[in-house]
Amino acid sequence: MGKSTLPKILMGLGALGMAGAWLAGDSVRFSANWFVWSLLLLAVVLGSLFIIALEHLTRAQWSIVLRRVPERLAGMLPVLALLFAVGAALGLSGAFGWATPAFREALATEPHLHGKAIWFSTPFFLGRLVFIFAVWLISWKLLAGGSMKQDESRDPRFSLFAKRFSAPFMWLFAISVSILAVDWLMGMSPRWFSTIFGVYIFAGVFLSGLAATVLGILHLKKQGRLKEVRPDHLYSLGGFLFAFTVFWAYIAFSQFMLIWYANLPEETFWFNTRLTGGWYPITFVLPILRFLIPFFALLSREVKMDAKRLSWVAALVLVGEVIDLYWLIVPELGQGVLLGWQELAFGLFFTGLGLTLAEARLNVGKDLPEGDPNLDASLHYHL
Amino acid sequence: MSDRPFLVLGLFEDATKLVHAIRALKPAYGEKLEAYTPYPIHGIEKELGLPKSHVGKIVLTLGLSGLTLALGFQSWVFTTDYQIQFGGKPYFSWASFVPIVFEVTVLLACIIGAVFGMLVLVNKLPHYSHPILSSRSMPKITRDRFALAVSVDTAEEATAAEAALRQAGAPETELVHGTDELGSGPLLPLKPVLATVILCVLAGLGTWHLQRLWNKLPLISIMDEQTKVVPFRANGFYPDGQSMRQAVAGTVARGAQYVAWTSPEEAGTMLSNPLAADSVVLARGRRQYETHCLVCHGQLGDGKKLLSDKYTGAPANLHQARLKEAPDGHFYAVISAGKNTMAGYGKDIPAADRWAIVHYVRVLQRALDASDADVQVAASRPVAAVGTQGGTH
Repeated sequence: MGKSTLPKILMGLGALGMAGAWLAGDSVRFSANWFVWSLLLLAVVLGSLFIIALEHLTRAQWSIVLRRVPERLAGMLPVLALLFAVGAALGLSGAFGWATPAFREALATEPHLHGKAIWFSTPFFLGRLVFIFAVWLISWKLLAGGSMKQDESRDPRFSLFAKRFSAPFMWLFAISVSILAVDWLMGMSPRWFSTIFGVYIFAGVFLSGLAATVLGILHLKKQGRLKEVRPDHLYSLGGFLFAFTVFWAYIAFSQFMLIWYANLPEETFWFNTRLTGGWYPITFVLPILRFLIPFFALLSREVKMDAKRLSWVAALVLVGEVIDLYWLIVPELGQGVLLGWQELAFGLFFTGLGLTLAEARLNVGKDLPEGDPNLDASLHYHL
Repeated sequence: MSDRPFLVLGLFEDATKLVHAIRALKPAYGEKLEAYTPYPIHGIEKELGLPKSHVGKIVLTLGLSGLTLALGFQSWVFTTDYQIQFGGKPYFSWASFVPIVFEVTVLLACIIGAVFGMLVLVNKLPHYSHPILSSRSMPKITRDRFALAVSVDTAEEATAAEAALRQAGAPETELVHGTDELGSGPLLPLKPVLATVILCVLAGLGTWHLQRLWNKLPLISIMDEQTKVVPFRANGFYPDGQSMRQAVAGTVARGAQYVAWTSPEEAGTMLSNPLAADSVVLARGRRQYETHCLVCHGQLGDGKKLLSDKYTGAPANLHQARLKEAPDGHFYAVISAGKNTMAGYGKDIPAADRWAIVHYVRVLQRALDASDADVQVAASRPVAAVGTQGGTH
């Protein structure tokens, strides 16, 4: 059995389990699992897109040699558009916290919710969904697609265009990720609000993109490709991972502490749900998994310079992102901690799907952006 | 400064040539080699075989000490030394400690650990000079030359090292005289240090006097000075010159309750406690009592205040016979409107919570003077879950 068949076996097993979960009839639980895992894959894709744009915008040279990895991973976007179309259908039929009959009724009767009624109308939601995916798809086409074309044309004008395009992209990215955060995650608990929430989701998105890039590099290196990525490049990538591990903790704690301190009932109930019952251990584990372990692991220079050990941390970051998304979404169903064969089936299917897609994408085009005029500087990058 | 040979410098054009020279000279000279470069070259410490720097360990140790110190100190102050209730939160509120823990950790790790560790271990304070700083090659090393230094003791050794460096490809070499033994070179000069200290003191005193003058001669208007109505301050807008207004006679403010009684005695005859004394109400009453009443009336309601003795007021002992016999309405009225030096809490505590406090005061009164029958009743029943101080919020 080759390694490449394993993801397909996972997918097959997972698909069977998911069919069972659908037939079991708990469509809200099914939808919540769907959201968690499709949001994980989207986080990887958006993080990758952000890495590409950040490199162009800052004219960073060190990362050109590994840019093909995020460029290729971002290519999972069309599949994700499909996953999110299914997700929207599931959500609008009552799985979104704001689409439940109870909240729909509250929107009509409670005067202080009138402002939210406009935001949470179905046509407006669908419009936003189309808008954010259009932004991402077009940006991916322009940035990643343009870079692939540059391999043949060797046209340095693309690099200039990418730099200019990345500036407005950052602005659109901030808005689109915030919309995603509000509609799909904060909207699970529609009475709750936190202005820092979009930033919190962005931290997870960027971390996921970085982690997937590290894993992609290891995958290619195992096949004897991408030898050009040396410990110097990995060290810089690991530095980013370290910085945003701290950034995530900073944002997560800022959100928690302000709400805890002010102690306003309309804000605290969200944390109260997560600090009581079966959710408490998960809330306790989250900062250990997402902050303490990666923080101390990445302090070491040796770990950041070694693709294998860095990949262990990267894998942990992705596990942390799944648990984070699960922790954001599932408590709002009000069914307690849901961990059973259904969650396992989703985990298997989407892990298999993600690995299959990533493996296929990592074979598209050339391993190095050969047309980039600064590639040489990146090849000779030293710390 | 002594005139004995100290080191021989070989200047190379780029980092690669320097590394090749290090590899060539390593077998013969080993630990006598040191490199001086215009910018840090990562990995060169491995080529030179330098031991790992201690700065990392010092930073980690001090960082962890800062963390422990800040966390321990705050825990001790807030749970043991000076308990204060903030908005009904537990004494040990770790979330509020985190910003200070973070700051102290960073302070000790970075400022004390990294900066002072670097100054002493790497820059070798109190030495503030080194023979190489007065060499001819120094301007070149800080610009575009990469120097390999070989420590030497005698003139013969210096000649041999010079030859070895030339052979390794150095187009230029220099013999530097001097020594780096402690006490032989110049130490931190006393006069500039003293002058700096005196200047700091003068600047501090000057600022102190300037800011005292500032209030008398404001150069710019500050936001503190405004003509708006400020509570407890005189204001020319109203005829009586006061900024705080009395309610118009015969009116009840929006959201307020109509109060018919005029004294605690009257309230005692007019009002009765509308709440049942169940476990939820008692827990609520206890929480409210501990938030608002405890500092003066004491944990047990015996009037033993937690406040400093400098506060000379004498809070009432809630266990005195007069108060044991007083009806519930009496307590409610005193909590609402205050008595003697005690302020009224009507605006701060909702009416339901005031009644809950009254129930809790009754619990205290009965508990402190429990009869045998009470104890038997208590023993025969499971302990009611009256909310505890701790727990998560």
